[in-house]
Amino acid sequence: MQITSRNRNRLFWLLQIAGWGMVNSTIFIVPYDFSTTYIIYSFFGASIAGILATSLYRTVLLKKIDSIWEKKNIIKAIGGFFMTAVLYYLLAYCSEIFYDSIWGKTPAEIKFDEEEVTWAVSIFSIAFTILAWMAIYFTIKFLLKSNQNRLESLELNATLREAQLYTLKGQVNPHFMFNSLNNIRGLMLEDVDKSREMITKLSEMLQYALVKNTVDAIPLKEELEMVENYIALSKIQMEDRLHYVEEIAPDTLQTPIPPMIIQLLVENAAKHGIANLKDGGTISVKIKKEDQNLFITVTNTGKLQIAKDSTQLGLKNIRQRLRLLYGEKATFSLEEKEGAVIANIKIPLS
Amino acid sequence: MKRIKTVIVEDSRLARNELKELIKNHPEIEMVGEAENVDDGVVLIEEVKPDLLLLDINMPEKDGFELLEMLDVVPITVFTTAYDEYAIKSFEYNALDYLLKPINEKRFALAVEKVKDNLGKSNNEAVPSKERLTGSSQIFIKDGEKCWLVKICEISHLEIVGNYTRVFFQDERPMLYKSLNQIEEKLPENYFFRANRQQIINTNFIQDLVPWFNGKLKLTMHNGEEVEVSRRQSYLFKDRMSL
Repeated sequence: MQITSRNRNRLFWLLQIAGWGMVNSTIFIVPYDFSTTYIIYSFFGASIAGILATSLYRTVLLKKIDSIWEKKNIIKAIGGFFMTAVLYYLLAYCSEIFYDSIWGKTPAEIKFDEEEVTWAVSIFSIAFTILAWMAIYFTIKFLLKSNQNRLESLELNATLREAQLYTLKGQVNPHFMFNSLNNIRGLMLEDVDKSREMITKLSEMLQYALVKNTVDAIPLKEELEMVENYIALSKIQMEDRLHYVEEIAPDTLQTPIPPMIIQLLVENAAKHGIANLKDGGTISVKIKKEDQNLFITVTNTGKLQIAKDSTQLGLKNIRQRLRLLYGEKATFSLEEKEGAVIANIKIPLS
Repeated sequence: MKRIKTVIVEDSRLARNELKELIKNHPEIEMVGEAENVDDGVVLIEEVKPDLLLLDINMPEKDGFELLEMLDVVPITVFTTAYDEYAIKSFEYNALDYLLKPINEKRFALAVEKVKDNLGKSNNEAVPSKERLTGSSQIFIKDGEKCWLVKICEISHLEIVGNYTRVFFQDERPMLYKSLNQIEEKLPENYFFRANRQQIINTNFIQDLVPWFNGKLKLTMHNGEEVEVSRRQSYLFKDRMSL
């Protein structure tokens, strides 16, 4: 189950109230001769001061800190620690003065303030309390975070497996596979060498689908080989109706990319684009690097229309995988422009 | 025996070659033409009027079902397709003949035998005139998910529903997206009779006939449905049936 930020907030406030209440309840058992009003007042006063100071600390600073291991964050946390301690001390101090001015302290209470609560004790106890609070806060925060990470990686795995299944079931989709086999059978009557080559390409595609898509990333070059195989096999079905253009910047060839994404886009372009055009059209794949991003563009002649029996599983899968792997840094768009369908993907390189 | 005039409609050239290669083993099959898309296919079929159509489903722009819908008369049809869950479901559901690519030679031979049987049955039919269908002519009806290849002589009656026509045969009653008048022009006159403005009946499916008031007739069809024959048509009907 995913921990929503609402649940997280609830948990925070619950722990805040319970924790501070527990720490300050020591006032009920200290062996001093305090008035009941004072005991109850300081219990609530100190708890509220603690809750206010630390909650402010969390809201202003800690919520934004994802990892404590960065130097910048450590400095922020320590600075925040001092400010929180001071704030806590001031709030507690004011609350004492306020009490004194309203109810008036008993002599025992004044004596306690003067003799037991020295500067050293105050500083030490406040520092200790806030530090303990921070320790607990960060422990819980990172436990939740690691749980979240685990969930995300589980989700990624599931999506990848889905893609893999989809590849076997829907993608090197049986229709394509049997059509290719049938075409190769026809091709054998006129060109045995080419038939042999096509059988090799078909096997490579199956192999790729079976083996390679269990991994998170493969070099672009390998994905393109798969795409070229697919195009070659589609060409024996569509012949002159299918044109293929590739424009790949040489410095991108070794770039690791998630497998089966360009492949899925090219298949869509062929299946929903060119295959529906009597006179055929062109599929083009363009890939370049720019400003620490990899740009992939797959274009095909035709109109952007979502077939009524299409589940859009492929597109959904691409979106989901990009989101899980790169978060907001990757983008995917599909649009129709001047008689062509254009799919654009941006993947961050760092 | 008369040779089976056959047309292939299939977008892949190699797949057409492959089919022609299979046909070589069956001298009774005579290839009379091939087309690589639906529009060319319709023109070809209307021109050569083949006995058998080998039809692919997935083609650019229009699919095989759409081709059948465009035809007035549908030849005996065997679908050829590579594995496609959707299409196969439809063939099975609608009891249509199909062969999966790559096509097994034995299965192909069986399909050819079946075609020969079907053609044999209708061989003693009168030769169809140019404008009219015969009893053994097939029409293709697609209503929603379901589709049928129906022999004209199996239709018991037809009825106006708005601008379209409901076709009754066996236990089915799909909608055909043509007007009744349009269909009447094509129906063979020896089977069918216009009972009234709304209905056309197949005279072979009349179970019972009783005189009704005002010189009208009331017919009961095989399926129990009652049809009233209008006064004017009743005279014609009596005349035709020599009553």
